[in-house]
Amino acid sequence: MTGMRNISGRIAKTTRRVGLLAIFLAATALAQGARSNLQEGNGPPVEPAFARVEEGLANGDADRLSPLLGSQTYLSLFDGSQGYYSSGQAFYLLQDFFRVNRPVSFKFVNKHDGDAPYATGEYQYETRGRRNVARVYAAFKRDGSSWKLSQLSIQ
Amino acid sequence: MSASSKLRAVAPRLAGLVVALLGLAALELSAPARLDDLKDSWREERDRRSEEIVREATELFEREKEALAEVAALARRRAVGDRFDAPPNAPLVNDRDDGVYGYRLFDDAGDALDWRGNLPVAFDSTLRGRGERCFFADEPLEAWLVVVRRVELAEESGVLVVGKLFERRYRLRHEKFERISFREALAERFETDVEIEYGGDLERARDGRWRGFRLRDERGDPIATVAFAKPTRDEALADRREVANDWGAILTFLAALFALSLFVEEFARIRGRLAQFAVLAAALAAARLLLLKLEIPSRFIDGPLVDPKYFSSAFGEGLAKSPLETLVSVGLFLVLALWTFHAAKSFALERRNPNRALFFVAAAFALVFVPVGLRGFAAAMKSALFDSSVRYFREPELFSDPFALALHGVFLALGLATVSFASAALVAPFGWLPDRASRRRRAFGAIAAALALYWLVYLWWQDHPLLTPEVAALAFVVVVAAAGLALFYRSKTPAHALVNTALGSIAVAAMMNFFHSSLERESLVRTAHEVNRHTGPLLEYLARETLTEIETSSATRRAYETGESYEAAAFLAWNRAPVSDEPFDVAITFYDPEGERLGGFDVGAPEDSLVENALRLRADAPTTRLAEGADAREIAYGAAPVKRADSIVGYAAVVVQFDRERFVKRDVPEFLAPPYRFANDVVNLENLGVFVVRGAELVETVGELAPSIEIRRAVSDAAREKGEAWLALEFNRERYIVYALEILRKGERVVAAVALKERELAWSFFNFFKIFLAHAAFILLFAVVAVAVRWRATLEATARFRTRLLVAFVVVSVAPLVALAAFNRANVSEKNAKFIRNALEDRAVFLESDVAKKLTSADSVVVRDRAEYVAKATGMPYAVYRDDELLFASYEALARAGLLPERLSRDAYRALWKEGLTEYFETVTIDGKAFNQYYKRAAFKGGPYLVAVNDAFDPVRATFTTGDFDVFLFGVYSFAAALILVVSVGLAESISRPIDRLTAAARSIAHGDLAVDPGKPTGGEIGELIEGVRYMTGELRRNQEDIAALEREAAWKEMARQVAHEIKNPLTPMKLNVQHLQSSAAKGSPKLPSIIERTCETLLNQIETLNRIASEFSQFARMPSLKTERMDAAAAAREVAALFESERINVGVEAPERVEMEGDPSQTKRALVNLVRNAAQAEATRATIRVEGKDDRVEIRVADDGGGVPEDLRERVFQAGFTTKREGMGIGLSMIARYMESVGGSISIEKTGAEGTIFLLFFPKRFDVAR
Repeated sequence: MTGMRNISGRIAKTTRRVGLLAIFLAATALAQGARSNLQEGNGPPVEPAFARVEEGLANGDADRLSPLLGSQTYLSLFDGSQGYYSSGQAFYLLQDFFRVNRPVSFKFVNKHDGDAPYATGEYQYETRGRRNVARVYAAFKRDGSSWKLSQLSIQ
Repeated sequence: MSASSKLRAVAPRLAGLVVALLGLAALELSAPARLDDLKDSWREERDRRSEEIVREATELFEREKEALAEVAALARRRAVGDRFDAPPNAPLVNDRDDGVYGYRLFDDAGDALDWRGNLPVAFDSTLRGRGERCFFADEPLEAWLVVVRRVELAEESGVLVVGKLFERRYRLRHEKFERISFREALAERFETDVEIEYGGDLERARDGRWRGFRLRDERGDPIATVAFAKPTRDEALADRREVANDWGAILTFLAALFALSLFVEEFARIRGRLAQFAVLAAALAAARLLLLKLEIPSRFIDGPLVDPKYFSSAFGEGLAKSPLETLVSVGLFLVLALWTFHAAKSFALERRNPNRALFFVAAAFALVFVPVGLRGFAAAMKSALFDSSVRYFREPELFSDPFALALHGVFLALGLATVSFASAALVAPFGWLPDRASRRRRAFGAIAAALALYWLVYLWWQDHPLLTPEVAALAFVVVVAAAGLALFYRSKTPAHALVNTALGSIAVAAMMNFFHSSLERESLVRTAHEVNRHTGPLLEYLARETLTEIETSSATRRAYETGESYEAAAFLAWNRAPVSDEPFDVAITFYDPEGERLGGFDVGAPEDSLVENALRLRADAPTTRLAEGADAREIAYGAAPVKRADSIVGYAAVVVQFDRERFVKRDVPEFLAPPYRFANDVVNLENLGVFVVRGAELVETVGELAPSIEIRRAVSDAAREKGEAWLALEFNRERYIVYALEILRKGERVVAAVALKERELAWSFFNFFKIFLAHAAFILLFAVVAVAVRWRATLEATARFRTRLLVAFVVVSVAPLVALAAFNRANVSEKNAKFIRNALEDRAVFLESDVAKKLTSADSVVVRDRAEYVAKATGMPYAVYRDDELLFASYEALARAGLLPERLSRDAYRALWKEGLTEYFETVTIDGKAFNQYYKRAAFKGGPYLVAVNDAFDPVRATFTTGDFDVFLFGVYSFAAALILVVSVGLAESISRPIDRLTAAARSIAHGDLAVDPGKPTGGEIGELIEGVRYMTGELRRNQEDIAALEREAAWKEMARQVAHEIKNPLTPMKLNVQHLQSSAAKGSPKLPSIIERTCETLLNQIETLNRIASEFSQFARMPSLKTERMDAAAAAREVAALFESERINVGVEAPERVEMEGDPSQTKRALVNLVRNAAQAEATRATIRVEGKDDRVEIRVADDGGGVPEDLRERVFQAGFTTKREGMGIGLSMIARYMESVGGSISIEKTGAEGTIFLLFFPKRFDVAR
């Protein structure tokens, strides 16, 4: 008798657990759906892309910028590189650029989101022991569910 | 080899390794101390370095001064006689006309007698007082180093001013622009910042971190101040570390090389090719990684070779990050590929290890490997186009870019490596296939068919197969052809490598051409995005940048200080700001504090009202705004104060406008702002059509395409479905590829479409041959190297009938084609020049008459006003000269800025005003960019005026340019030439082959081989000759047989007579003795016992005589006498194979270079000929003579793929008189057997069956024989 009670108790406990799990999953799915709808309507947030560019430029880290480089990115660097480049070309161009013009500091001064987000800032760098400042203009475009750099000017 | 001798052999390399490692250790240990030394003595070191810079820079300047003085001396000598009396092409100061040197010759009154170049020095009475001293003529855009010389002319004296361009402060974007800058030359040489003030003082020179010094004239007076940033300690330390790193890299590399060299000999000892391959691949991979890690050779090279923008692929974490790194990777890959090809080919041809199972495994591997390899190659070729800024097909010129030519070499090497690897994979399995030609052919066919099938399935299975079926089929054919040639056409590996290079070139050219089409499509996407990249924020950012440039520019300060050169200051601000790299119309205007216009410069001439709007923004600080323009335009404008000592002395206004309608074709001269290539650097922008639609409504259009309502709707619907779409549409009965992209424009969704006309077939041919011709240069180089190495064999080849015939065919057929092409090209070129001249002439006549209308007087003010009015009314760019001075130009700002000359060119002046011509046509060069200019004397009330028009500001386009013609010429003519070449090779081959066979047959006959086949009669004289040789060999054979029969009969008769005679001699005494014994016995003679004894003795003696006679005859009947000597069995085998070169049977030799043995060379060769001949008669198609030298013997195997010897006859074939052939005498194999026996060796059938027969001839290396 006790055994039967134990079994029915276990079944009830399991049913409660399964029920709770089902409710949790359904809630998660609903939240996810709502989030997807929201994203579909407003697009992915651009702030992380701004932050990534900021970090990449501040540290002279081309690897950090790499995920933002699309199949064709317009680069305009004061070392003479200018034009549309593939992701591989852009990565190595930036890597070489940072190696020669080592960053001292970088921060975006103005950021504008919307359909065509862009930001401008000042890139302090050091070339052969001498410091200089260049102005940066970065524009983004949507690529599916993420943002890519459409243009990066360091002049 | 003993241990000590081994050590001696490797000692130098071991020593090298130790030295390199010691050097490395010493470098590492000494580096900190060296850095500390530098830190401690930095002050002295900095002063020393600064002094060195001053000394070297001064020396450089002195050299420039000397060079100018020499040019001035030359100019002075020539000035006396040449001037305007000189023939048109007389040598002058600036023969090169590159704008580097210029001169002016004035008479004492200051009238210009002669001039050349844009030297900015006007006559001034102080010029004469300068004597021999140099000075700087400093203008806002340029600075010139100038010297003045007095000259005595025929009737008067004059002043000659000669200058050299020293500093060009602007940079034009076209490819022919040459940067000339003494400042940059110093900055580059001393790796520091440099500033120069020509003719004045410099604030920087007083800065403690800078060092200043003067440049001085001949008297030692200062004429310029130079300041440079003093070397910093951090910079010096970084340099020293960099040098240490360079040496470290070199020493590590050397150590690795020495270490590797220690194992080179071990490589040959590795058993098994697969193991060798693994070791070599691992060694090359390690070498590549080491080079990458050490950055060798990139760390020692600058320029395009190491610039990722020219080519850089994400593949392999840096293995192809620049052209040079790609070259190193491809080079090592090629080494492995060529080795693999050679090893696979040798293995397949040796055929020592028949093994069906391994054959199938290897073939299956090849089937999997080859498609993967080909796809990888296709991906690499795609990367070559997509990951590079070099555009191989954009310009019609065949070799427009030497750097592109170098990249062609890299990709050709990749093509060769791919073909070598893939064909090696297909060839290698045949090493395990039994040695029979027919079976090999069948197996190869089966593998090729399976590969084709698998290749198709492989491509079909992939989401992105990269290749179309046509290109994939071509790649397949290339690889299979390379494998087939390696397997069935025996040649040395270098010859095969040359063929593989040509095949690789075809694959590379086809794929580059194919991927260029993809790139063209991709470029449409780029153009669609580019049209929409230029948003308001970007324009505003650029306007602000331009204002910042104006604020900080010394040219702006100078303009407001001197009250002149506002145009130059505006031009420099535009030129140095990032906006000049964009396709934007820009206006920069300077005002005084009250808003009065002082001067300015514009590109693309934005509307005046926009400039006025910008001026309204003037305030204490830079301000910018975005304007609401029409749909097709984005506009930003702004203003900034120009300050001097904190007070505002004026304002600068900037307008930046992007006009989509003029995006493709802007009316800005190419020398100033070349066509906007970033929008599409793959195809010519003028071939593009861009339009924006909103449903069926046309919002804007760029170019000349006019889309119908149906097209607009189709484009709009297609793009709105997925955001973008590709369409094939027809405009004006011409096919276009169209890319449609949905975009957001000012909050509204519209569709931007970019259309490109589909390429004509001639373009495809042209592009293919463009690549192929570039490759031909490398193939030729390869061939030259091969010839240099094997020049003797090449000389023999060129002397051959076939080669001469081929050359004759090619010359006779291609030469007229080339001559015709050259003639046609010259014709088109001439017609184009005439067309341009006529068009300019028409413009000049029109403008002249328009200006002349209502012209009330010849006064220059009146003429200028009227000319300005006509320019605005017609919108046509032109200029009016009064005498030699520019009176008016619609592009006046450029002249005032100093970019265009304000004076008529010397040659035009001479032709029009001295020789009295009424018109003149010349090519003018502005900073390396050439354009056409037409001058016409204008009848403006009899005044000294000229009207000048050119095609720089309003280009004249011929309907069919020489570029278009080149496409046709090389597209069609090259195809015809290639066709002729192929046909010529075929013809030469068909004519020379029978002759080659006849030659080989004659050689065989000379060696006594009368069974040789001279080939099939082909008709004509050659056919008759073959028939004659056949008849001759038949007759010879019959005669030989008859003679042999007669000789045999005569020999038998003689032998019979001799035998009878010899036998008779002993028989007579025997008979007499027996008769005597008979009669003695009948008579009962008492001496009978002694008679018996004597008779027996006689009989025995005579029997002995008979026995001796029999032995002597036996000796007489033996083989021809042996003439043994040390001989080369391998050479004998090769000689025999050569005899069969032109026969149906393919005879190969597998032998080391030399195999020595004792034997009779003549009889050895006869034996081999007999065996090969037997194989041929047994319908074998291939025979292989394999020679192997063992310790105590030499083994020669003759293998064929004939029908084999029946098992029951295996032993009998060596018996004399036995034969299975209808006409055979059965003596060939028995003679070989006897010869082998005579040298102490043997012959046997090692193997026989349906797959063929292997005869084994065994020779002892040494033997004793009665000679």
